[in-house]
Amino acid sequence: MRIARNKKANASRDGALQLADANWDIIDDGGLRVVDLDQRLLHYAPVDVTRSLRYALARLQTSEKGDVRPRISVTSALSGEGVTFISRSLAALLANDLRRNVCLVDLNWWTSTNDAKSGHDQPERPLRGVAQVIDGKVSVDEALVWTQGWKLALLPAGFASPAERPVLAKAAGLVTLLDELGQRFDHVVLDVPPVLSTGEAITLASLGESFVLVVRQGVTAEVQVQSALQELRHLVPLGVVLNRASSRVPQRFVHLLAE
Amino acid sequence: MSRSFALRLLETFFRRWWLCLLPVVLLSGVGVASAASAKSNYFSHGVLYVESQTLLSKLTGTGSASNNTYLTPAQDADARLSSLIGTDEFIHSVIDRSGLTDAVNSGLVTVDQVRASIATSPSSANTLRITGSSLDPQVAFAVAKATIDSFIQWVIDASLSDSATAEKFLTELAETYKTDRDTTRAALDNYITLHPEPVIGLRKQTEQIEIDRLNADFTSANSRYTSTLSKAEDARLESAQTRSNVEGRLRRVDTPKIPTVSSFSKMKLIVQVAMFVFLGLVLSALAVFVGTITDKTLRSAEEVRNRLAVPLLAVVPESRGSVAQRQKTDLKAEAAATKGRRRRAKGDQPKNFEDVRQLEAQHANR
Repeated sequence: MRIARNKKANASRDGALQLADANWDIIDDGGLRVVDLDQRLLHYAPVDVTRSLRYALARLQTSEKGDVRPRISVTSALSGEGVTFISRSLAALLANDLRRNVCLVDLNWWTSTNDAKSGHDQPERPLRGVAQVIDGKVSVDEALVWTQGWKLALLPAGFASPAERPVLAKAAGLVTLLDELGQRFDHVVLDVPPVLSTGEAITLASLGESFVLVVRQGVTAEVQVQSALQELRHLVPLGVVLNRASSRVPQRFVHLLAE
Repeated sequence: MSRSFALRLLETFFRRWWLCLLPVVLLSGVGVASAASAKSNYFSHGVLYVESQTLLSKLTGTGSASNNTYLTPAQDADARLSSLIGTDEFIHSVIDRSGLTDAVNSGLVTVDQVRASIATSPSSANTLRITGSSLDPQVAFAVAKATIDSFIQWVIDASLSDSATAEKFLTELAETYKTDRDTTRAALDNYITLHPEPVIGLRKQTEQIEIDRLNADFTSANSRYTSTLSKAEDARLESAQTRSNVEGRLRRVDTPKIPTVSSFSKMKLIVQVAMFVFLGLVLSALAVFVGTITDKTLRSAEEVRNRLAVPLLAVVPESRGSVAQRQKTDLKAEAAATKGRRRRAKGDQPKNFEDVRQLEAQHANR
């Protein structure tokens, strides 16, 4: 897996990146791409997304502690708000812009993409992950998906049956795993399921020191966002990311109203 | 209205502008269709002057048109005429007077169409405007005229009903009494003829008694007859007064004329279409307003800042590309992935970022 920014920046890197450069002409548009060791594209953040998230990164850096917190939970009120996209993009930015070792831990066993038997036309996801590491079936190293040349690793959720999920969320092994990852990586970003959809989401979100709440514009009601914030009141809120924001209002109207 | 709410209104509109403008389009279509199907109608107007009391009614003490002091005479007459138009008897009277009986009987015109073609409205406190409308100017004129005539006749008939009844009754009674008087007179004359007065001396007492009795009968019958005649005359006078009073209270100021100009005008059609368009705009505005106030979602950074007690980190725009789309379209990347998978099948599983770098360096040297 690798993260690439743009052609010019890429040209200045060392030879280790040349393998990835072979694919530059294919998908380069200035955004961030996460490519695994098999050169398979696992995540792509367009340039306008990374530009927006850099503001978030700057705000996190200028927060009260003066730096981005080591362990951040990214969650939402309801499903489908883009938590996975934002958490992956945020982790990629942390690794790319701050040159930190970052591990993105997927704790969302509830998404249908995680269910190998769902039959949905979804990107293939590894069956080995957090669930198997906690069960002791695989080691952390075996489960980690590494990036090419960059400092981002991904720990998939792994397959867990509906009955296992609540047990995994409360397992002591999960805390131990995150502690271990915390020692190996500068930042651990947790992809947490929606707070109002799953009872275990609050427990999982509490594994982070602080949380980022993703709100999809025009979809999630304010009262639901307030409820989610109320559920997470015991945690430090870093802030809200308004996702998939778009406006159909012509700019001249916006400027007119601003005057 | 706050800037935030104004932006929400605009957002609601521009997100589904075609849906918001649907009422305007539909109602404009209806307006144009109704304008296209509009036919030239002719209107004939007549004006009645209505008074509640005349000088004659004041002097003679005959009744006024209405005891309702809250209505002007024209309003009172309008209410009465409107209620009359709803009755079959009155409308058939109008049909008969306007010469539309054959048309109604043949089904060319319905009673309801005739009813709908009559309109009344008080134009002042004492003037009542009666309008007849039709596609044919002659019919419009006839309907308006017949309505006025029928109404006046109806008022007269209604006012004369008591005195006319009395007059008829007394006239019939007088005829009976006249017969009685003639009979008694004939009996008296006949008796006197049969029993003439003796040349010498006095009548027999029995004859005188009979003559007195017959004379008394005649006097009584004559008295009844004379009295009844007097009463019948009073009733006739009352009828005349009432008729005069009604005619004084209801006077034709403007007699209906045959219209020469139809109601069809471009300006009216434009106004009609404009009203439909305006109604559509009102409905559209209402839809946008309702859509905005029922939308409880967060739509802008400003709303997040104002309504939530947590800071806003970023506003991530809608991204057009997705991983799945790229994976499907990126055939070269897939080919490279296949190549990479073959290499990784040899067991090159890194354990940290250093391993990754070494692995990449090896690949680069190859």
